[in-house]
Amino acid sequence: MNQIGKCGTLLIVEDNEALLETYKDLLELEGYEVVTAKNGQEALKALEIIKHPCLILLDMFMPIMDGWEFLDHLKLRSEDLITSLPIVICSAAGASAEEASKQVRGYIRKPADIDLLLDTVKKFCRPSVAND
Amino acid sequence: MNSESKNKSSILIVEDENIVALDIEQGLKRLGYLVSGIVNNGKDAIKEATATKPDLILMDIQIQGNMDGIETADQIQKLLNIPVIFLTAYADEATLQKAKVVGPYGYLLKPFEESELHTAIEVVLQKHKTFSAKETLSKEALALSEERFKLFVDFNKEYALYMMDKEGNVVSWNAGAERIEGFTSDEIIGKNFSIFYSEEERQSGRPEHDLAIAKSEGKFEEENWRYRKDGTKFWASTVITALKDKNGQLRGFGEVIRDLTSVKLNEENLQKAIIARDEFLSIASHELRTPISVLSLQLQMAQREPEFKIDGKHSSRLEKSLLIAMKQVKILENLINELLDISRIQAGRLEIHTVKTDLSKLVADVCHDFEDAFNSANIQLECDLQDRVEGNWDSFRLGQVVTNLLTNTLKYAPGKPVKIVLRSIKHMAILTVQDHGPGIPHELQSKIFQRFERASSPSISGLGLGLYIARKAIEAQGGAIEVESEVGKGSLFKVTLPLNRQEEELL
Repeated sequence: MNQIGKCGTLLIVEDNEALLETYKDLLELEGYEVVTAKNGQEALKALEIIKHPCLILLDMFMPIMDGWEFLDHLKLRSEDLITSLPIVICSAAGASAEEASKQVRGYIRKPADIDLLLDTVKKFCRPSVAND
Repeated sequence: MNSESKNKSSILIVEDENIVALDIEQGLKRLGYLVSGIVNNGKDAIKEATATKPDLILMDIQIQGNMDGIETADQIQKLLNIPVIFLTAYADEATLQKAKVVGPYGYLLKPFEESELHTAIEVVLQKHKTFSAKETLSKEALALSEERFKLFVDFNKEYALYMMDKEGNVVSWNAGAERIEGFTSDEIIGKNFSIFYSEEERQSGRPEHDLAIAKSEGKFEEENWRYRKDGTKFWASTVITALKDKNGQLRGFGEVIRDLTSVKLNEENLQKAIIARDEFLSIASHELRTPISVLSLQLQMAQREPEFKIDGKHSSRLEKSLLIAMKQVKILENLINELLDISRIQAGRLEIHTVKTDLSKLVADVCHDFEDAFNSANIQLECDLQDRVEGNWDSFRLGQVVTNLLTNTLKYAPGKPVKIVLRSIKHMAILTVQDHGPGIPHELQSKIFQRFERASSPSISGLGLGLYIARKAIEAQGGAIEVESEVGKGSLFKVTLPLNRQEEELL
């Protein structure tokens, strides 16, 4: 927890706990630092602590605050926040999610292939602990 | 004499030359006819014919008074249906034509022989007898048919059948109309048919509009909700027909209504059921996908887990377990994706995302993925792929198409060689997959591209969606898929795709 806020932390926003846990385990296993949020609201709170995550992996369909609302909130805070923050949408929502992904850095079609997921993360983040 | 006169035919003579008239009278008597009277003008002829009802009239065309023989005959025909033989001294065409219009039974040119008179009278009397008999019969038949028709209309309960005058006032009302609309004929006859419309429709002039259409087009047809007397509604199929006489004059309207409420409700329920099914399919496949993707990721993680590795390798037993589990997860994933695709296609939401794609590389990659599966199915796969076949395509969907075609060869044609050929010809990419399996009977060849259709026994696994999704994915990219097949020899699937859709469309 003391590493929160340090550059190189991943923020994963996903409402499905099993999937969230899986992403977290997988990425931690690869040596990344991971912070999780179960919806847009939690993600906004987490962003108050980790100001500059190396990547936000964003699900779109979530209760309380979904991915679209989350992006709208970011835009409200500051117009360039959405472009300065590295966000990759990871969703099964199809066209609507792909449309939203045009304003961010990327899109991963769910179900995510492990190699594609790791390759994407590798582009934005550097593991803090050497793996293997 | 009395009994004799009963058998004798009576004849009225209309002739203004007295001597001629008497001469004819003598002749008739000699021939055994009864002369009912002799008159010399049209007016008396009508009076006499009405009084004595002769069997036949001998009519001179040139007679006294202001009616000639032809006009007189015309009047008598209309009133009394007595046959007429014209007697004339003039054989001019115009007079004869005029006489024919009136419809005489015959004419004699003066002067005539007694035998000619005899023949003419007998022929005309015989003709008249046959004609009258026929007319009586057809009148009876007509009356019977009219009665039947009236019964059919009056007592028909399935159809509301009613007639209206030119203004749309109801003039007839059958049992079906009473059943369907709820009004008795006493309540409705004389009322305007606008009563069957809603207040709103009356305000907007619908009743007049519908009649105007019927008048100009001959009929007005629609299906809509209508209201009964008690205010309940029913789904009505309505036809208003303009009733015009043979001169094209509007005489009124006929309206036929069927109550199709139950058909309509069935249709609506069916539609609702289809929508519910598609929604369910969509939700179910989404719901299934999340745990599957967790399962898949967890298995992949386990495969990478260093703790399970002995000397940097998995124990072979564990590795085999993970491999099999992973394969099954892939199968589940594909099945779920097929269901999801179907629900998308149904909802018209099959998305195509085109990027510059090298089909040659894409096919080679899929073939590579299938290597193990082909080996274990004992299929020798020959790939003849032209280098670099590039176009703007959805690579994910095309990968799915090639995968589906190869999966089918695995399922249906194991143990026999399979050949894949890719060529770029003109502006098209052409991909063929040839197997040597059992082949597809001709009558099934078009069906296999439909949903849930399979050309095989149920022993072959799958949902029967692969070729349907392949077809939809190819068609969405402007291409086509077809099959050539012969039972016992194998099948050839051929996919054609435009290399560049925009260019293709511009050309």
